Amino acid sequence: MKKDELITLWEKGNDQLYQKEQIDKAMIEKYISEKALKGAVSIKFTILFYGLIQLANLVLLSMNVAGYMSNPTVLWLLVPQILITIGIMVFGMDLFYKFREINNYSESTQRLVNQQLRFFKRPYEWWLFLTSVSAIILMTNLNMYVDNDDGTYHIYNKALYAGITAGAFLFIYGSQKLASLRSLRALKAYLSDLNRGVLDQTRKLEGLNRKLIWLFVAIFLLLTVSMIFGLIQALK
Amino acid sequence: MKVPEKSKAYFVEMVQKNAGMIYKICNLYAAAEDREDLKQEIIFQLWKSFPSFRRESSFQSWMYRVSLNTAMLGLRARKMKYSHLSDREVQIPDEEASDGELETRIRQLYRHISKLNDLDKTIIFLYLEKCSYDEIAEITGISRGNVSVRLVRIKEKLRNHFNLKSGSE
Repeated sequence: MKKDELITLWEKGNDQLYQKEQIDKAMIEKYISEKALKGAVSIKFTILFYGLIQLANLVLLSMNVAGYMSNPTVLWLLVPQILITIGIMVFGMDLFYKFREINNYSESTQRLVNQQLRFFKRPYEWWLFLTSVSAIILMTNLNMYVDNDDGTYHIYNKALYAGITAGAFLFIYGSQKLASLRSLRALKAYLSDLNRGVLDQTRKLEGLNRKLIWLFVAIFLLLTVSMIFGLIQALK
Repeated sequence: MKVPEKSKAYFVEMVQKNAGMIYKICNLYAAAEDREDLKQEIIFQLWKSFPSFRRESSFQSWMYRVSLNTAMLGLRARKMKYSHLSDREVQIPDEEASDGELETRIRQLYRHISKLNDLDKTIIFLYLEKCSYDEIAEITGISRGNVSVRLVRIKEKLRNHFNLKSGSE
């Protein structure tokens, strides 16, 4: 078949196939309404969720400032936390708009994938770190609020306290990092396939993802059973 | 998102005018059960990206770019579902109602294109839509030379498939 025949077949065939298919105005109006958006929700949700955490932090920090007004040492610890929280909020807003911008698919495919890759490597990586910091701020300030003893806060075992805080930070950061690595790996695989015009990496990743899902299910079941067993032991 | 009513009317009119493009892309890139989702996603992405349309390029060429990127990345990112479709999944509308030779052949063509990888699929689709090599290069982000080399290979592959299946030439 010559090239012209291919194009002719494409044109004539499609004319026949789609003569009845039309998109009316009402349909377009419905689709373009903001409510119709279903995609890219998870990252936006994460950013908005941590935005709310920053608000909660600000409220808690203000309450602690009021509660520890007579304790200059604690106040000097609270002020930087307020500044960091405000900074994280501003960064989060900027990130939200950057992500929205990247998801306006008006660039070429390769440029778009590269942009998404850059987003996950740089600003989103910072975001993961900062949100872990904000979770620690939330945790410590909740403790400080609950254990406020007339403007003083006692840490009985400083080493244990530091260890638990560091452990919590690593856990929060690590779990978020794992989730973002999945997206990053998918994008890298897709970019590699796009450049080479094959589907090898994408297919490999699909298989790996299936295995990972089973692994997560197994870990989840194991943890649930351990928790139930622990509860039963505790109740005895 | 604030777009003046006049621009919105222009957008709606242009999308209506180029509705065929959306149907063709949906049929090439999504399985039958995902086509409605993809159609909705494409129109939504077009609307979202509309403020970035500079009118330096034609609306049609901009629409190709956004629609194809949505088909290749949007749905993929959301569902991690790949567009390597089986013969059974590639069903063109009104299949039962038609048995003309032209429709059989176009369906075969769709089926063969659907089996290509995303990049090759995009290149041949744009070629069949009569886009220039430069336009194809701009939309896909690969060089003009690469477009030309790939196109030769794809057409050859397609020609072979066609010969095998249709037995006509």
